[in-house]
Amino acid sequence: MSANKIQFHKLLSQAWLVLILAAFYGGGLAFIHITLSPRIAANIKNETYSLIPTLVGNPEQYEVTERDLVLQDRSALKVYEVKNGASEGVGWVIPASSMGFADKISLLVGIDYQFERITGMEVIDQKETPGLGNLIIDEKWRDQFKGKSTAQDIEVVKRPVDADQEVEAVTGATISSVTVAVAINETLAKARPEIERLLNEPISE
Amino acid sequence: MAGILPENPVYRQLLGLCPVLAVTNSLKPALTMAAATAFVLICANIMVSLLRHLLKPHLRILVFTLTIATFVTVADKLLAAFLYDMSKELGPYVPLIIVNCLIISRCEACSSKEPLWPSIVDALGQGVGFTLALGSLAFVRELLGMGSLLGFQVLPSSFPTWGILVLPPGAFLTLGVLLGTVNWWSARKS
Repeated sequence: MSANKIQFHKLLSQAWLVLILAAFYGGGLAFIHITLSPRIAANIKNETYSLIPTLVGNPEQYEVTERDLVLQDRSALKVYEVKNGASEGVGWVIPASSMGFADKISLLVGIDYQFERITGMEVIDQKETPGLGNLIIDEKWRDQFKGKSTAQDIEVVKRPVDADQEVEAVTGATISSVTVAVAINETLAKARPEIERLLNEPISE
Repeated sequence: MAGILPENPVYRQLLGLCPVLAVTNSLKPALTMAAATAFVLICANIMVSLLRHLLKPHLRILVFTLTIATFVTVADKLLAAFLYDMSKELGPYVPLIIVNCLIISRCEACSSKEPLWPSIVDALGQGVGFTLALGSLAFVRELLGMGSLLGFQVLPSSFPTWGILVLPPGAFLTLGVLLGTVNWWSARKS
């Protein structure tokens, strides 16, 4: 009993500096985080908003409304509803992400207002291998997704495409390519029923 | 101040080579990285120098790491808040400053033994030296690999850019050539 106590005192007399420093640094970091996180969130939001028009076919005038969807698995999804100057629906922008070869790949997917076809895709964050996997940010590759139907899954193939829902993989980067398709398929399948419900709702605004 | 040239962290001590190889394909990320590293180096040296009389020998590395990790997180958050594009481009390499052996070696060799002022001067010297090294590598790689400097086109577009220099092997090639040049130059001088 007393041996334990002496042991404890001995440990404390050695470790007090580490303990105090850890608490002190922790407090400092919490302060920095609280001060800077609104700014960081604003940076990410700005980036999303700057990409929205290109994703829905560059309308001349548009306004964006954020919609918080509650999906069937009870998770939340923030989507962006885009309307033109005359408040007619132009399209939807939906964030999608999935684990790629190196790290999470984050995308924004643009879809027409009736939720039938993809109108654009942008990669907002990826850390894939330079020269291979990071070619998914290439515009020509991303443009393959334009016009794909939202009703069926998109398939990645390792040969020239010969069917409507096919996309050719980036050579040497099948995992990165498949990740993009899977992220889009999964997110659209989840968001679809909720967005259709929004579309069928009588206009209340 | 010996860190600037005679004891340059990269060309003389060969420390902190991970960022040297990873982020020097163009000048902008290289200089941002060097500035972030210098910030952490100076802050950590100040902190460790202030705490030097309280350090227990077997717990000192723990204190160093704790201090460095804290300032790296601060640098990471600052970059994400004020230089968002750069922070996205540098990606995982900013958090990896924590394991940059240059910083821990200065804590161990200098600031845990020296008073505050010499520690600050030492950190400044090493920081400037590290910036020079990253800058020189990135200068060569961006100029010959993309024909530009800091994103501005400087070589005529007829110049055949050496694409390999921007890719990972280019980092090793450039480092080898520059290291050889520095060695040849200092051997000739003495």
